[in-house]
Amino acid sequence: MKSVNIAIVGGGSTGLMTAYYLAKEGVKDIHVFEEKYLGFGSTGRCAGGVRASFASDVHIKLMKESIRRWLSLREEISGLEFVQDGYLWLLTTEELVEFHKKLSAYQNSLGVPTRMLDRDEIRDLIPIELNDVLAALYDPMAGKASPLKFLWAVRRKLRELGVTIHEYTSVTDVRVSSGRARSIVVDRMREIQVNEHVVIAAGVWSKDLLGKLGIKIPLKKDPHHLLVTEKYVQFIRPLVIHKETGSYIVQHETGSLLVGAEFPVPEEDMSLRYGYLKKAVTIMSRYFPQILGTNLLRVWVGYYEVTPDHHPIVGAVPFIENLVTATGFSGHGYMMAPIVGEELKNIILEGKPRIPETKELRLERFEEGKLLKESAIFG
Amino acid sequence: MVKLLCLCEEISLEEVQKVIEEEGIRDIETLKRRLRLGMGPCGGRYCINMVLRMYPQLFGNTAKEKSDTELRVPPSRPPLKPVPLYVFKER
Repeated sequence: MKSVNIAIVGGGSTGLMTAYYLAKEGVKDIHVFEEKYLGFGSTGRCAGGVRASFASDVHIKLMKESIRRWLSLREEISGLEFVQDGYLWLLTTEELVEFHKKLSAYQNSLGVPTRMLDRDEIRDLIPIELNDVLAALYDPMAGKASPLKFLWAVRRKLRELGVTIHEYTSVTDVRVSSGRARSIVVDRMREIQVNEHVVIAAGVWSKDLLGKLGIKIPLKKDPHHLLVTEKYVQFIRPLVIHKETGSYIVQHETGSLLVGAEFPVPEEDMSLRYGYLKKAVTIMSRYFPQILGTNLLRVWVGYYEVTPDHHPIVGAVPFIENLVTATGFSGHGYMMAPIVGEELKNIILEGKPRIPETKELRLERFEEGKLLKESAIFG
Repeated sequence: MVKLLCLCEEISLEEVQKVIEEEGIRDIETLKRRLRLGMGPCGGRYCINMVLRMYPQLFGNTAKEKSDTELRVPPSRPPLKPVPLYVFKER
């Protein structure tokens, strides 16, 4: 292999979806390069939640489109699962209740059908010890999609479509001359010519690769813990968030429970903290005492790649005409992958995205000081 | 007779051979996540070792690992054995 048409750096959800939408349009000679195994970065470590109930119009509009794609992807790609079981935010203070009433009205105005539930309505929805819960915000449009099932279903599909996936192959450099990415360097020694586009979708590691090209992106590695239990009888359909502490619980089709909690650690510190386990279990068992009898199977840490405004960077980068990137998803990369993949396809094939909001995700906004706003971050 | 490689997740030798063959899987990390082999309560203690023992037979010369000096064995994540969640609850 001396040259490729499209080189996609990063075998996570964003890179794979970009490859998928390009291949679906008939683009040939697409190559995905993954340094480790598919999903090693953040995709394989995330909880798999998908929602449009955000507090910024950019997130809401893009995620509405992304959910439409999730629904069609599960028909297009066999083995890919997406279930619209909803999200439920448990609200334990008057301030949170007031804020979420306003938030819900805002989301409704943008076509996301969230609604407030009182204590009885919450009890009708899930088996819960309500304790100090005053009310909840419910989003029936949200859902979950197992990241591992996604990875293998998409991997199979891409192979069928003729996309080449290079696992354990690291892109260590991109060679640029006269404003064009000419080639990539693989495993520090092999140079491969790129005829059309380079896509950098390498999660937190995008920063290093773009940095070598003199493109600074404001990206922080923010480690987050997650635990998984042994299989347990299906008892909780929606993803439930304890808003006050940012803890959450979700049960996947396998029956395993994933429990996350905010447990701030220094940037790049991937070590496991006992304090996280204590916090996650103590908070969630207050509302779901059933979980105390289940067994902890594993605990791990994955990165959120966080930008100053908690919105991603999607699109072309300045001064290199055939290089596009998508990174900085701040914990939402997996859920956004379908629409971002399609928009990168549009940028590559048509020169611009189709959704106006995608344009607001351009890298230049940080230098210009035009940050986007978002206040519904958790976990 | 079905030969089970992974007792926790009930994965047979046949299934392992099938995904290696049909999906071109060339490493244990991907095999683990593809089939959930080693993701059950034993944490891979038995099944991953079994795969290592059968490595040449399963992957043959096409293994991704062959250029490396050592096999890429999935990390063992804590806890060593499943622990009930109540252990972590603060009183």
